[in-house]
Amino acid sequence: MRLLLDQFEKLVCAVLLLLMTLLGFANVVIRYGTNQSLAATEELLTGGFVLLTVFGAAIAARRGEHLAVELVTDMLPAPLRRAVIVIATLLSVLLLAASVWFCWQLLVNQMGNGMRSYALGLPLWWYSAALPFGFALVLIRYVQAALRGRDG
Amino acid sequence: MADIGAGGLMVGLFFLFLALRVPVAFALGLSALAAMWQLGFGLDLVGDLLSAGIAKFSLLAIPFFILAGNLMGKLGIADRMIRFFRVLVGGLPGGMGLVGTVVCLFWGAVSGSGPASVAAIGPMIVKSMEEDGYSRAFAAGLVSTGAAMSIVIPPSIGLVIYGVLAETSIADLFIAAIIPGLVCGALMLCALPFGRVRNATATKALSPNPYPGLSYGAALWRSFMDSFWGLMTPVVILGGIYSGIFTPTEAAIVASVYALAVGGLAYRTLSIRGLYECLADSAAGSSVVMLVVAYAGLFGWVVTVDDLIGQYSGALLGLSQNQWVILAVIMLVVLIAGMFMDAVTIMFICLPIFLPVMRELQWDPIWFGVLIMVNLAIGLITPPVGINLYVAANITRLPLEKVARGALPFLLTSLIGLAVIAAFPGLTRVMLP
Amino acid sequence: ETLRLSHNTGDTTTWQQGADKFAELLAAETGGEYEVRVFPNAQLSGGDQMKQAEMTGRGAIDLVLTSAINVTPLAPEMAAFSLPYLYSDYDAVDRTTAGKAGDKMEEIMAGHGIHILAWGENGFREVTNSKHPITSPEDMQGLKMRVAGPMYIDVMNDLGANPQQMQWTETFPALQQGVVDGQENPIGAVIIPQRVYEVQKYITPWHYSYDPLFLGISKAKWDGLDDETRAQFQKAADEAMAYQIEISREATAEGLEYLKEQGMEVYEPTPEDLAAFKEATQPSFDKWSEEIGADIVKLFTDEANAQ
Ligand code: NA
Ligand code: NA
Repeated sequence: MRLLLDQFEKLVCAVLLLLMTLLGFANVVIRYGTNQSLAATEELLTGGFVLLTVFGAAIAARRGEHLAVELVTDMLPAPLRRAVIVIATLLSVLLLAASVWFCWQLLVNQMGNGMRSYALGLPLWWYSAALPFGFALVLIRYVQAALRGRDG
Repeated sequence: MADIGAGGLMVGLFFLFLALRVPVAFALGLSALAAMWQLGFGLDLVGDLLSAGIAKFSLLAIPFFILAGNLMGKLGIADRMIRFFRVLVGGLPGGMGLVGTVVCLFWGAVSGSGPASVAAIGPMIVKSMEEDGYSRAFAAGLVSTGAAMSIVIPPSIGLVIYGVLAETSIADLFIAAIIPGLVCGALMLCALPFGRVRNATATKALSPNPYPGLSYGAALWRSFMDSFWGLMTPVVILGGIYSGIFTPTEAAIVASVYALAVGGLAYRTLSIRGLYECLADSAAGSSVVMLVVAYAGLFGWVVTVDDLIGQYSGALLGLSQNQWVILAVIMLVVLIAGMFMDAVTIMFICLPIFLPVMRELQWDPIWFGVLIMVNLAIGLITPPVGINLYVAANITRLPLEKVARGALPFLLTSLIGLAVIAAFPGLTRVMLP
Repeated sequence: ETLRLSHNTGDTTTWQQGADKFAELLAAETGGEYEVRVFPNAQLSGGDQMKQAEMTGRGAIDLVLTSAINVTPLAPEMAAFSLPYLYSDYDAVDRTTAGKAGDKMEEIMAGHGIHILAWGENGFREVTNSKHPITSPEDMQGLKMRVAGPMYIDVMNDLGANPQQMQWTETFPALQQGVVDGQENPIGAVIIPQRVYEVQKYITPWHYSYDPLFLGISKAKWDGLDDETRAQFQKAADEAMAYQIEISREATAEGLEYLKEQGMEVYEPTPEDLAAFKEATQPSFDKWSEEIGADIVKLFTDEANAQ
């Protein structure tokens, strides 16, 4: 259970990216080799890409990989630098929380208006359902990394 | 204008947040949200804009080329390839710097996306350049710049969009862009003497021949056979694209599967654990880039709605009657836009303003398109938003500023390249009938 | 007051010209009280052509100029317009948009928060390819066709072709290298402005499917206008869309000549050829009629086939 909690986004990403690779490749092979194609491949890959991006962002957040410019803060004295880092973390949390909220609104809108996807006619909210949760996970991982403390 | 407006507020806040060490992606998003608040328009579109910003099929090449690059590194394919190039031209002046530049330009004919190219070939080039005595930052800068030429050298999604907007032959644009792309690449070589931190010949950091005791010919043959399947990658991808088996975006997927097949079947270096880590790392690496792209989408949206570029470029274009001054102003506007936004957004916002000027002054639309494309390629390596720099920072584990500084010499050579193409429009006509 | 209008295509198309005309007429009608700022290339929705209408429906965008096919994710009934071989000519089209079928669609869109002011034209979709002239359904056998949506996938399967969904940015290089052999789109709106003739040799104007435009205003905005202003909006919209239809039909008529000059081979299908295509695509027509709703489709077929 602990392993699952710990590895959740890595597992999601690995499975997702592998499936996307296989689907995209299968479409090429089938289109070239036979008189058929998996006509809706593009829609599935694009949908998967959105999920891959938010859950991948959670992996990166946890490893502190989201790139920042450290030029200015490196010139500050240590106590001031610490304060600035706290402010930066709060600002980042604010944006991520806003992203969760806006993606939640997107989901509610899409469930309300019944929009369907273009190629497969699936409810559009299926593709967006994981977005608010994905951003929430990014937020959690970002806070975890901040609490764990980087070199500061 | 009494107040700075929403757009001005956004740009100011963005730099403030950057200075405060807020990650670039979040700084873009925060400043854009503040501007939307100020505009009183757009906040109820944010969810849609975020998802639309990511869900672009043409960006899908990014995670797959990152995956292909990671697999090639992890499965030993890249090492063997580099070994071959070492034997082949590593003994010439410039050594691995020369090799890296050549590989970048060659890869430009495979990939249509700058960041995807960094991801695919960056790790192996940076590693071998470092072994050859170059600084890691310099190598990262070289790869960022060389890979930026992927959007100039065909296939290029950017040139497709330009051709449509400018009502110009896309096929001609593709051909016209080849020589200018190579010119920019050749100019990059001028920066090589400044990149070595150690004297490779003195320290023997990297011998051109990694097979002691073998003659040049024998070593070449041996390294060729060792790296055969890896060397076939561009052949498979180019062959597949130009014989119409798959699209440039699908090529990224095929490259990943090919790397898996070579690692699994030929070299037997593939393990489940290794694959798992590779997949997760690739997703994380692609997300670092894609989150910037997604929030930059909000930023670009405000630039569009607030007509930021139209406001200022109109005034700038009125500055002079001299067409060279006007061209310089246009190039400057695109350069500045390139510091903040992605190539496609810039084209949609700027070209409707610049194309009428181009027609009025009777400039060659092909030449102008190539100039714009080289300029947009430069945008991939200019901070604060230089997507190629981000990918390079991600794969080299270097801070963004270090990579940006490493790219500085190449930024200069690229600007010289831009000036050369501007001064000699004939360069775009060499290969055209 | 400045209203924001979003449309799908570039700033040199008849879409843009229609939108500009509306802006000009509305400003004149209302004595400058209402101005319209036109955003091309779906810029307001971050480039997503399918989402503009929904955003207009919830009042986030004021005005939208889009095509029926682009709103099918929101209102699947709008697919009725593009049923294969529903229309034999422009007169049949104009009867439906002016008649009960058009009213019904306006009612459906009102349910999604959009008041349709007037109908415009994207055009009949024609087939091009790089292999051989298409004169009969047999010629479609095995051709790799890039299509834009689920109904066209079924239609292509009926014809024995091999359909593939693909983004437009991918399509040009795909046609150039032969990843796909052909595509189908309106002449005036896509084949000429997007320079498809550079990479395709053969065109058959087979008129197999039609796509109308509509100029819609957010219902919230519309409900807030007084009767006089509404009449001014209506007048400006009617004239602007009539103008857009006129220039679109001119561009299409001159388009075939232009494509010949560019080296394309045109095959003008005979009435017998068209009957064969129509018969071959009947299964898709039936399947999608059922999907859309038989009563709605009847409104269309009655008016389309009325003389
Ligand atoms: Na390229
Ligand atoms: Na930049």
